[in-house]
Order: sequence, then structure tokens, then C-alpha cells
Amino acid sequence: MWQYLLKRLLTLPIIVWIVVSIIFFVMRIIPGDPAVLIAGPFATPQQIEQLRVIFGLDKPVYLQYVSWLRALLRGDWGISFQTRSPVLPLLAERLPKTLQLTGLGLVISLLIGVPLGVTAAVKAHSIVDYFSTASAVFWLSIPAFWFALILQLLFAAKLRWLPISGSGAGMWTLDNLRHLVLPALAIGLPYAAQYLRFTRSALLEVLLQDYIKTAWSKGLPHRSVVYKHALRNALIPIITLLGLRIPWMIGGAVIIENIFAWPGMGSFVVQAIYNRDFHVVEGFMVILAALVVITNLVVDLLYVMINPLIRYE
Amino acid sequence: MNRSVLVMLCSILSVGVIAVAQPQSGGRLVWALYEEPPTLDPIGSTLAVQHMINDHIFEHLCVFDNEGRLQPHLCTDWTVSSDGLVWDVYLKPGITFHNGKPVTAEDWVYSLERTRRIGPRSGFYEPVDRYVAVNQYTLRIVLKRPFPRILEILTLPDAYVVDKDTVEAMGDSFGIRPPLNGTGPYELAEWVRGEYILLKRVPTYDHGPSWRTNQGPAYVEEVQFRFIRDDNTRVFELINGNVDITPFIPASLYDIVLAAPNITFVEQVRNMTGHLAINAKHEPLNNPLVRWAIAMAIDRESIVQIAYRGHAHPAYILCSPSQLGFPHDSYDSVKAFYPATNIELAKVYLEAAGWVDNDGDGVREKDGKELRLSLWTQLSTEDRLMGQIIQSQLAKIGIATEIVSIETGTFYGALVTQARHDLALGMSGYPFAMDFLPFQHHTRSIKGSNYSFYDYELAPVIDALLDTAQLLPTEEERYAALAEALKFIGVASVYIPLVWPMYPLAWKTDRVGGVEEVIKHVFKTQVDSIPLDCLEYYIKK
Repeated sequence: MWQYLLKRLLTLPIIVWIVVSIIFFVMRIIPGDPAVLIAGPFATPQQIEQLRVIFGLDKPVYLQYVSWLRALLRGDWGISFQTRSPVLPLLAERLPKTLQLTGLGLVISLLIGVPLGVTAAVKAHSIVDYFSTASAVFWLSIPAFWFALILQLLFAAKLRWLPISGSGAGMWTLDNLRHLVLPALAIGLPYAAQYLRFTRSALLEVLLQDYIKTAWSKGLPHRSVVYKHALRNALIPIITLLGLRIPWMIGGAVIIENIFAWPGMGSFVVQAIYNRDFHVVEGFMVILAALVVITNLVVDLLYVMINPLIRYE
Repeated sequence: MNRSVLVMLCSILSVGVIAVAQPQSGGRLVWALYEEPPTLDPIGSTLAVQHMINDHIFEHLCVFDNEGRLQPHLCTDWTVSSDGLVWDVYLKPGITFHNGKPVTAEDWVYSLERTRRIGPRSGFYEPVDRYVAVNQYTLRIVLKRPFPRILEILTLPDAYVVDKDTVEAMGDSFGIRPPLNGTGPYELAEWVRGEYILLKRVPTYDHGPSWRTNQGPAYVEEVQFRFIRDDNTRVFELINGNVDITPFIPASLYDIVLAAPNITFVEQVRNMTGHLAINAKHEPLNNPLVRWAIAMAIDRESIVQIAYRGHAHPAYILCSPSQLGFPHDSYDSVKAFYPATNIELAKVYLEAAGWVDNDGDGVREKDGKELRLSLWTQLSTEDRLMGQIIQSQLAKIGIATEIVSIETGTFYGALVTQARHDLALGMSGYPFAMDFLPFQHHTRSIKGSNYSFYDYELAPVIDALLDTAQLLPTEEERYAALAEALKFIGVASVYIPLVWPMYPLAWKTDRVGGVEEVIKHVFKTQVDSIPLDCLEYYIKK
């Protein structure tokens, strides 16, 4: 097990390296010259060329790659073309807000999706099941930005229960949490629908197994059969979905951050893509790739905890 | 177009009940801006939002007053040598940075050299040979050639005085974190990335321009700039009273703002001109007959009504009425040099150029090749609609167009460095036509901001007129030369004027005072260009 963990941890930098290398070359292949964009509308050809030299964009791409990779290995993530300041602090000051938003969104999606999925499975083909399934289809069908706007219009602009935008003062303060509610719901509810659907179908399958019938026939309490015997075995696909969805949530947070003026990494990175601020995009991808790898590792470890029969050698 | 027509253009759409209140000190003014500047280092970017914030913190040698006249600000006077090459500028004594350090000629030399050497607008300062500190309060500007507009140029958004010690001590963090240590009415107190910038009033500020009703300190205690990219969110925040003022509202949301109580909404002609750029490098667009035909096929009214929902004005020359240097007195004679809409004449020109629809498919041909052009647009709703309208208008004269809609980064890369377009929709401008026109039309800007690639026929004449205009001693003579250049630019028809868009400004009437005073300025509602407007605002109690 420890050997497996060590092996997985050692592959982490390799996967991150492959991902960011692909991004490095893709960013340089797509049309759009950072020097033209940064020089602005009144730039002379000489100024644009001068900026290319300053940013090292006048060198062949493979030389740019080698020097960027060397710097990255030294912990230097490069300089933002836009701000002319180091990339790492720029991303680091936005990362906590993105993690806070997606973290709470994840909690909301699990707290709503899993219990509703269990209920729908246990009471399959009842009104509760039909209602839950129909709600899930509704949440999955509506676009995230539309749902976010409706939440904002109703609860903030019209009823004035919650703030329209911003993140409030500090982190995890009451003010911050009030600002967090609507964007977290906007992120969490569509994912809750996915967990509801997955939980229902996984649990339905398990509930038909012989060992569950045995548990019922032994007269075990309902709660024990459903939650201890059935749900535990149904958790594997749910956790797999969780592992896949966390990076999606971080990526999807861009739209929600934009609508709620949430000061996370999303809108900053989108702007960096538009401005061809290469090092900011590459830095973001390092973080995202590392998160994906770590999340998948945690998911694999959770498999072992849930099902003792699973062994990693 | 005379000035009275301009005033009519500057239409006030809705004015709520404006409470008459005396300016008072204190309070927090909240601006909503659509984007966050990457830095507040004056040489960091060319973004309008950066200039708007920086103009609270830093100051210039001179500023333009309400009537558009250049006035000394951090200087008292200047003298010019007989050959026009040496300018001695006498600095106002007693001006200090926010940390109390006196501003001297050495600081100006450092700041302006930094701007000239590494700033994004360094091209503007090309006539400058060097800056010299003659003594503590005399700054000498030595020019390579006579350039009467040098002090005008030093009002650009990067020609502020900065403190060398602060810049060097802060290193990479200068412009990113406090302190900025300027000389203006406000100092940077806090920057929460992605969310807001908070400025605090400098209580000792006392040197506001004489033409401002308030010379300082500013009335408002704190100014917060919130960055709200989403248009709907910005409008909701304004209506709900969480934002006091915002200059950026898309036409699609005007009705919502107009229906809200206690909001005054003003829109005036912007200092920009929306244009159709023609890549005149290759056939068939290197033929003036084809370019004139394209210009004559365009009906600007339908663009204004459909793409801008009526919130723009048709543009007939390549200079906006809100730019300093617009030929108010000779507008009609300048306009006469730009091809007017005339579908039948456009068809005649195309036939004269050899383009005829032989097979009756609606697309003209010449030497077996169809007249098909690419039309590049950016992704905004207005641009895409304009693209479709122009596509249908050109189809009427037998030109087929393929619309390529792409995001800004790819758009400018493709146009400027690769010249991949035949036609492209653009929007450009600047408060001063004298600076803007050379950047868009001079051949030395090709592969820079001139993506017409037009360097033949009338180009040498246009270059000469634009260069001459810079050298003439009086403003009258300069603007007259500029008007002549505009005529030749019209005949060349490599940039076809389409629209003058509007610049909206909305504010909470029950919260904010002083806005009426601010928009008296010649730049009207374009608050990102009005110098030291921050001195006039106040919060009503």
C-alpha cells in the first residue's frame, strides 16, 4: 500500500509536467501575440518588437520552453506579461477564494444529492422518486449562468436577503459567508443533481443484491441495511464521480465567479488567456493538474477504506 | 458639424430629480468598473480603467481645463528657445509626495525618462531627446526636432511624476501594492485582488487646478473601485444602491436603468469611431474603385438602429466629435471627401474595376475569380451584428463576404502581424485626434496600430500632412492641417467610418453629488479621461 502511494506520488510531477508542457506549446501555437495585446492600440512596430525581446518571445519556442522549465524547477513560475510581477503570488492570492467557493459548492452538492439519491432509491417508483428524478433532470438541463442570474435576481436584487456580488470581508467571516451562499448554490445545485442520479442508480443496483435480501430477512433495522450495508457498497461509483467532478467544478467556477464578481482564479485566468499572458495560464495549469492528480489519488485511497477487498500492490 | 449639433448629439436621456445639496466632506464613493487593471504602475498598461484610478493618485505637469485649453498644473510656467528645441518648465514649489518628500526636477527627469524608455506609449515621446534637471524647480526638455505639442503629450496617462525611491524600494511590487506615493488627492489604501481597490483621501492636498470648484482636499473620504465584469450584476448593484456610479452599461440594459428610481443616466458621444478597416495590401482591395464601392454600399443608419439599438450616431469622417481636434468648423467640407452611400454608383465603380456578375449568381467575377472577401469581427454582440449587416449590404453590390468572428487576442494578432483579413471591424480612438490619427493612418504605424497596410497612392500625402500638423506652432494651424489630412484619409478609403458610439454614465442621484460639475469638462461623460474629477464628487448625507 505504502509502496503504491509512493509510486503514485512520484508520478505526480511527471503528469503535471506533461500537462503543462502541452499547454505551453498550445498557447504558443494559437494565434495572438502577447506583445501586440500588451503594447496596446498606440504601439509602434518597434515597441511591439521591444516587448517581444523583454518577454523572451523573440527566441525559438524550444528555447523558451527550456528556460521556462528550468525556472519552474527552481520554483520560479515566471512573470505575468500584464502585471510584470511574479505569477505565483498572483495565483496564490486568488486560490483560497476559488477553493472556498468550489469547496462549499461540493459540500452542498453532496449534502443534497446523496441523501435525495438514497431516498429516491429506497422509495423507488414512488412519488418521491419521480419528483427527485424530475428535479434532477431540471437541474441538469438548465445552464449554470442562467441559474446563477435567477438566484441573483431573486434572492439578492429583488428580496435583498443576500449580497448581489463580491466576497465580503475576510475568509469564513459572517460577511464572507453571506456573500458565499448564492455562488456556492449556483455551483453546487447542478452537481447535486448528478450525485442524486448516480446515488440512486448505484444504490438501486446494490439493493437488489442477495446479501441485502439476507440482511432484510435477518430483520436488521432499515437504517442499518440501507446506510451500513447498501450505501457503503454503492459509494464506489459516487466517489469516482466525485474525483472526476472536482476539477470540473474548479473549471466551471469561472462563469460563476464572473457573474458574482467573486475574486477567485477563474476570471483572472480567463483574462490571462485572452491577453495571452502565457505564464499565468501555465501556472494555473500546474495547480489544476496537481489538483486532478491529488484528487484521483485520494479517490483511490478512499476505495480501500470503503471496500477492504480492494488492495493496491 | 458645428458645436451646437455636437451639443445636441450629447443627449441626456433621463434626468431624475437632482437634489441641490452643498458639497460636504466624508463618506465612501463606490464605482463599479468592468475590469481590473493589472497594475497601477503608470507605465504598466494602456487600459482606460487604470488611467481612471491613477488620476486620483498621480498628477501631471499640465492638464486640460473644461474648455480643452492646456493649463499648468504641477508647474507654473514654461519658456521655449527660439529654435523650439529647448523647453524650460518651472515647477510649482511646495508640492510633495504623499510621504512628505518634496517633488523636484530630478523626480520629473526620473519619471519621464522611465515613461519614455519603457512605457507602453513610448512612441508618443519620440521627439524628446532628453530631460534635464536644471535646478531643483526647473525641468528642461530637450527635443530632437521642434515639437510644439510636447506639453500636451505630457498629459498622457503615463506621464505622471513618481517617486524614484518608492519605485526602487517596491521593485516588482510597485503598482501592485501600497504605497504608490503619488502627489494626487488620494492614496492607495488597499487592493483586494479581483474585488476592489480602495483609495483614501490625502487630507493635506491643496493644489487642485484653479478651474476646479474644489482645489482640495477632496470631499469624499474613501473611493472604492469595485471590479464587476458581468453587465447585469453591475446594473443590479447600482439599482440596489451598493454601487454609486458606473460608466459602463451596455445598450441592452438601458431600459432597466432608466426605469429605476433615483438614478441619473447620461450618455454622450464617445471619443472613438467604429470603422471598417480594409487590407489594401493585395488585390482587389488595392484598387481604390473597389474600396470606394465598398464605402458606398454601407448604410450607417441601419447599423446604428440594429447593432446599437439607436444608442450611437452614424459616423461620416474618421474623427469623433468628442475628440480634441475634430474639425467642427470645416466638418461639411471634410465629410464631402468621404464616399457617401450610393448603391448604384458603387455598382458602376465595381464594373469600372472589371468586376462583373457574368453568371448571374449575385457575386461578381473577374478573370474567373469571384469577389469574395473575409470580414473579421470580434465577439461582442454589436460587432457580430454589424458584421451581418455589412455582409448583407455588400451582397447588394455583388460582393460575397465570409464573417470570421474571433476573440480579441486572435483578432489583433491576425490583423497586425499576419494581415490575414480583407475587411475588419474595429473601434479606436483617443481624446486627442492629433495623436490618434497618426497612429491609425501613418505608414510608420503599419504592423503596429495601422492594419490597412496602405503605403502607396495618397499615403505619402497623408503622412506629410500628419507630420506637418505636429510641427505647426498654433493649435488653429495644427487642427487645420489635421482637417486636410482627414480629407485625404477619406479619399483613400482604407478605413471607412461607421459609427460614433455613446459613452454612458449612471449614478445614484440621492447619494452622489458633483457629477454635473465633472461632466462640464470638454471630455463630457468620459470620466476615464477627465483630469482630477475626483475633487468634485461628494456624498450626500
